[in-house]
Amino acid sequence: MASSPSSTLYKEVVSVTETYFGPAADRFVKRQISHHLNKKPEQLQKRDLVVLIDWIGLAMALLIDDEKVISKYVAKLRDLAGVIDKR
Amino acid sequence: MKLRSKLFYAYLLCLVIYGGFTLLPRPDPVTLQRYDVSELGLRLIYLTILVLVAGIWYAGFYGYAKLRNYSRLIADSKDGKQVAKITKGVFLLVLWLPASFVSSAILNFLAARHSGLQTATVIINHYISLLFPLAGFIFISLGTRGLSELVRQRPSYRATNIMAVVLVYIGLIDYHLIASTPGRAQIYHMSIWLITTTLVAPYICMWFTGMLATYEIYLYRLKVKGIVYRQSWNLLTLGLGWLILVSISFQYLTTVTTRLTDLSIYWLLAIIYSLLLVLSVGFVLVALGARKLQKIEEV
Repeated sequence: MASSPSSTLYKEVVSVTETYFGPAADRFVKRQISHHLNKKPEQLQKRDLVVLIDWIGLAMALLIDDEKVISKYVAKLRDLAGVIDKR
Repeated sequence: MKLRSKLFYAYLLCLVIYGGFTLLPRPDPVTLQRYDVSELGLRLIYLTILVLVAGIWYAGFYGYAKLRNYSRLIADSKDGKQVAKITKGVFLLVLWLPASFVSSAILNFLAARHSGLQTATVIINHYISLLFPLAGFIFISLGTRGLSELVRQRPSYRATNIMAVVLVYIGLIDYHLIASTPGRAQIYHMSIWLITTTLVAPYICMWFTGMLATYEIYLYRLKVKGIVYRQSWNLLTLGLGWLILVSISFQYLTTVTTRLTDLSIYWLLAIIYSLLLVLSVGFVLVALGARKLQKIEEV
């Protein structure tokens, strides 16, 4: 069974996040979506990404001081948003 | 650790029992004479130790509470099941101090009134000091084994052999210190064979289990994905490693306790305070590590 585009988008965000949160990535992204977008992960849409990326950047700043790591992560998510936009 | 939680009440209960059994009974006249202090002076010294002990126990209970919260937050995940085992182990390690201090205070109180209990008191104290950390490190190692299997990274043949060799020497030194100490009968009240088979051997097993567990968490931290997640494991790994080192040092120091009775009260206090502070570092590191891991699941 093919997964829905929203579910694919969610999986792609988790995949990028795994580099930073490892096994906690799925839980982290789920929490950001449900707390800040009031949505279920499978309901994530590309127009939600801008807000989600802002919240993720803020959450990261609470966890680590390394600005480079944070901006690289945010840039990867923005790339993902761009790639999805072009599709 | 929340005020009005079961854990906090357990912590307070341990403190009250320990404080009651050390501060309330009339101090031993022999001790007063040996250290040339008044009854009030000795009680004040006990009080300073109680304050330090309260701080260390708090750090331990706090670390456990944080780790338990983290473990509950991730209970359904693959790593969560392994962290739950580590949490159980850390709980037993945290209980190690209150259990040994409280039982020792109660048993010493009883032994001071019934001289026939002196030998039993010393022997029971030795086994309580062994059993809690031994069980704790077994649980921790079950969890760390599970974590290392998650990243498909087992300790290498070379690393395991190096650890075994190091442990053989640590064990031999421990055996030598026990066998050659002049006050062995006073410290252990057991034959050398009984000490070797029921204390030295389990301690060596415990240290090996603990060292292997620390190495497995280190490997997990090295191999697992996630820059932020990996960093959060640093302090917990360091804390567990530190507790193993402290356990080895404490066991070595047990063998020289009869020599310490010749020291002045100031030197003795300096040694006791330093040991308690060194021990507290391990629990503080565990607490900080657990807090960091919990934070990942809260933002």
